Amino acid sequence: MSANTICIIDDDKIYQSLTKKILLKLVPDIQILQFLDGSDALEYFKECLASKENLPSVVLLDINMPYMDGWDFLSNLETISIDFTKVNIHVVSSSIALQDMEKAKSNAHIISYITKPVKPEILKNIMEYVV
Amino acid sequence: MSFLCFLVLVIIGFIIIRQEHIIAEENEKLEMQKMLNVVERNIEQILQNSYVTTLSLSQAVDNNGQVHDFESIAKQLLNKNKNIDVVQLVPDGVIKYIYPLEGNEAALGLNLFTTAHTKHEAEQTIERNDIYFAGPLELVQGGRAVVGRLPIYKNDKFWGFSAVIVSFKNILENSGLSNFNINGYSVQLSKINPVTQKVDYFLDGPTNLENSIKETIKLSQGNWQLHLVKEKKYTILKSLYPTIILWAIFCVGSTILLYYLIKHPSELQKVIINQDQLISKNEIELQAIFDNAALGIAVVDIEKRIFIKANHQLCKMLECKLDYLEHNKVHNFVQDKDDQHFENLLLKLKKGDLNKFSATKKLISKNNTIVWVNIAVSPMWHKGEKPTSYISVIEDITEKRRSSDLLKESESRFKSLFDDSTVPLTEEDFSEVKKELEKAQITHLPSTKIYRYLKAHPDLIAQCVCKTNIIAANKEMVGLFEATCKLELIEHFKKLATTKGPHFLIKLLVTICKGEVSFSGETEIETLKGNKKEVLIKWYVVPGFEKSYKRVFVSTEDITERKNVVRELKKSHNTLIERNKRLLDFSYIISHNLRSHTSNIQTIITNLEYVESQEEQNELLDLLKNVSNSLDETIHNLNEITSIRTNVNITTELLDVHEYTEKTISVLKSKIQKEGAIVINKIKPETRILYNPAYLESILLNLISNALKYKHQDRTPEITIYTETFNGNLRLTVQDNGIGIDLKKHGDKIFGMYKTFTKRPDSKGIGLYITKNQIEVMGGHIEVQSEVNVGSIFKVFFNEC
Repeated sequence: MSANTICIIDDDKIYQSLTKKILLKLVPDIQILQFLDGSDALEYFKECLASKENLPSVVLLDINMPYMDGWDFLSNLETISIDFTKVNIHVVSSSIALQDMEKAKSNAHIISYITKPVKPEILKNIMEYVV
Repeated sequence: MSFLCFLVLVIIGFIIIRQEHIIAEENEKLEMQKMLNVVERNIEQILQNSYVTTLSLSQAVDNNGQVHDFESIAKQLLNKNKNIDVVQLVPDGVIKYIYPLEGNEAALGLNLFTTAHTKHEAEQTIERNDIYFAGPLELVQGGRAVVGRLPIYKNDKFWGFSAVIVSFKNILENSGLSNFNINGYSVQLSKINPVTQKVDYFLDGPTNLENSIKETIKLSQGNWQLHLVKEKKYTILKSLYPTIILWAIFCVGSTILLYYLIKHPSELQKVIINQDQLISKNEIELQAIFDNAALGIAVVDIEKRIFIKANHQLCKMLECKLDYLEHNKVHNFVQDKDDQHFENLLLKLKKGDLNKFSATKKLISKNNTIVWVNIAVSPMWHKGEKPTSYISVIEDITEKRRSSDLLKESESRFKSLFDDSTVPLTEEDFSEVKKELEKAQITHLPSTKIYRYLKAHPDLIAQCVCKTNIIAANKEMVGLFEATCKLELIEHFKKLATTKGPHFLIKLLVTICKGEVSFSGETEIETLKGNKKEVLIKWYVVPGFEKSYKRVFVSTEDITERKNVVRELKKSHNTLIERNKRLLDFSYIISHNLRSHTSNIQTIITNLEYVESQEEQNELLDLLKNVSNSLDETIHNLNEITSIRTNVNITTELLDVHEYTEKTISVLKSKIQKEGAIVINKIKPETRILYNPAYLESILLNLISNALKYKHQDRTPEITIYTETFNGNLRLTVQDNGIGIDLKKHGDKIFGMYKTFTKRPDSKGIGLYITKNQIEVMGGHIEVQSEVNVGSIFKVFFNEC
């Protein structure tokens, strides 16, 4: 898998399709992986590690998901010892609660906290930084 | 001095005794002389008679020298003179005639001039030409005798001798010499031997006469010496013994007397000097005391009632100078001018009915300051004397009085405070309790150990409670224990004390063990009517009784109300916190859920602005439709929840839980049949609860449908519903054998909004959230027990309030 693989983890299907649309416009050859729940994404990450495939370079992670939320996903990720320097995790949430932002800030593996709606410029920046 | 006197007396005594001795001796001598004189006279008489006899006998010789009628003459003479034993006529010195011849034959024919021992005397007789008594000598014819010879001359020519022989024995008897021995005297007759010139002694008496008291007379006719010797030399001295003894006694006695007579005054003198010194010292001391005493002292003239003398302290009390006070009237310093009590006492003192008295008086100083004093008055005259002045010792008690007033005031204030206090108060005696604890020998242990010990020995606690004594209780206390009067309370005090909680009692006993003086704690008590009350007991030892615990103040505050209020408050506080938390959750959910939709709309609109084809536009519009649908659903859900929350006055009815369960089962009938599940309603018919019907329906529906929804694929779903009574409240349990929930993973979110435990598409994460809200709004709560692959148990606690 190429370096510019992006992983979107969010239970909001509309958000998923909209973001995919924008990303494809920005970076046409981008690989986009979509997961509706943290647990699904975690499975994928585990598989990648097992097959020694490259991990996605960018993760757009939602916090509020019904089964496994963003925080659970992150703490699980820590247990499977992935190289966080190669995986840029951005939290993307509709929550504007301060406690969520603070929590994200205190987590060293989270690069930034982005509130929805995600502006194309921000996505562009994220992608450019990686590329 | 007395020794000198003794010496003089001894000397005087000695002289007197000496004089007396001499006088006695003189007397003795005179007496002896007298006696000797008598003897002498007697002897002289005998000799005289002898002379007469010899002379008469010489008449028998005529001038021719012839002897006539010798026998008859001799006979006559002898008859006349009984003293004379024998008469002789000795012509030419030869004894020729002897009368009586009988017994004297041996002398017949003896020539005196030729016989040795007579020769000298015979010759001497002739020489003297007078009668001469020779002897006493041993007679030839035997016996001892004195021979008196008278030379006879015839015609101037010696013829011979006329001789008489007087036996010595005769002389002794007739002269009275023989009587002397009887009276303590002895007689000695001595003569210088004419031949030997030595002294011859003729009597049995003493021969050594040199050192003896004696009297001597000389008998001329025979050259004899008659000695009278006092046999006992010291008789005179002996007769003086009484005198000596008496004198000695007198000497010693008078010396002693003198000694004492002399000594006593000197001792008295000494004592007087000492006393003088003491008195002067005392006087100085007294003066010092008088001047510097902390008490006021005054001497007052009893008649004039003026100060004769006063000390500095009194001046200080009365705020004036000494010279102002002295000779000033006592009246000027007395506030209460007619203090009859004091005057009466003084009158009694004057009369002698009292010998001292004391009284409290109000004085006024020169500067008009009131001075309260204690006056002790004693008279300065002796009994029977005319009253002159009295001495007053004056103590300033103003300060004391003030403090005692203050004390009284504070005491009465305290009493009224105690009695009228709105806090129930008791005064209790814990001294016996302390002793009891000391007897148990636990006071030295650390507090925790004492606590444990007491907890294990409830009998000791009971014993201690029994030993607590109540001293006093106030009205509030009576009210608190619902007693009719103090007496009833005191009577039942011990019984009431035992109703206090053991934890409180132990803590209190530990406090006593540790010697602490205050303690407070909450406990429950039972009143006399059996009502339970919660109280705050504050316990503190009255200062001064920290060792004995004899007086302890105990305030027992009824905090039942307060406690209830606090409980209520706590409850509502908790409810509020809960609500607040839920509200926060809710606002979070709202903001999050609504924002996720709005952000999507925003994104779609932004994209619509830059749409490149009709196709794309349609696509975006479809998405927008989806968003509006989900937004509608979200708002619908939120509305449902909000309606539960905002419903403050929820109507309740008495509902039959069994019936409602049956109803729910019939609602879910088709689903149950489809799943092939077994639903068992174990709730007893007519199990009733006061509840909101819609909520009960919703709760049952949610829980049973959840159990059906999360069935285990490998087995027939079995759902059991039953109720129990828990803490007096009804508890509903819905148990299934479904897939279970990993509570470790989801425990905190199980009842959260939009939380699901499966990735099943029909899990919306809203059902349990609503159920929880409904239960909580009705005052209950819900708990869950679950095990993955085994099943879940949901327990609904109804009506906790």
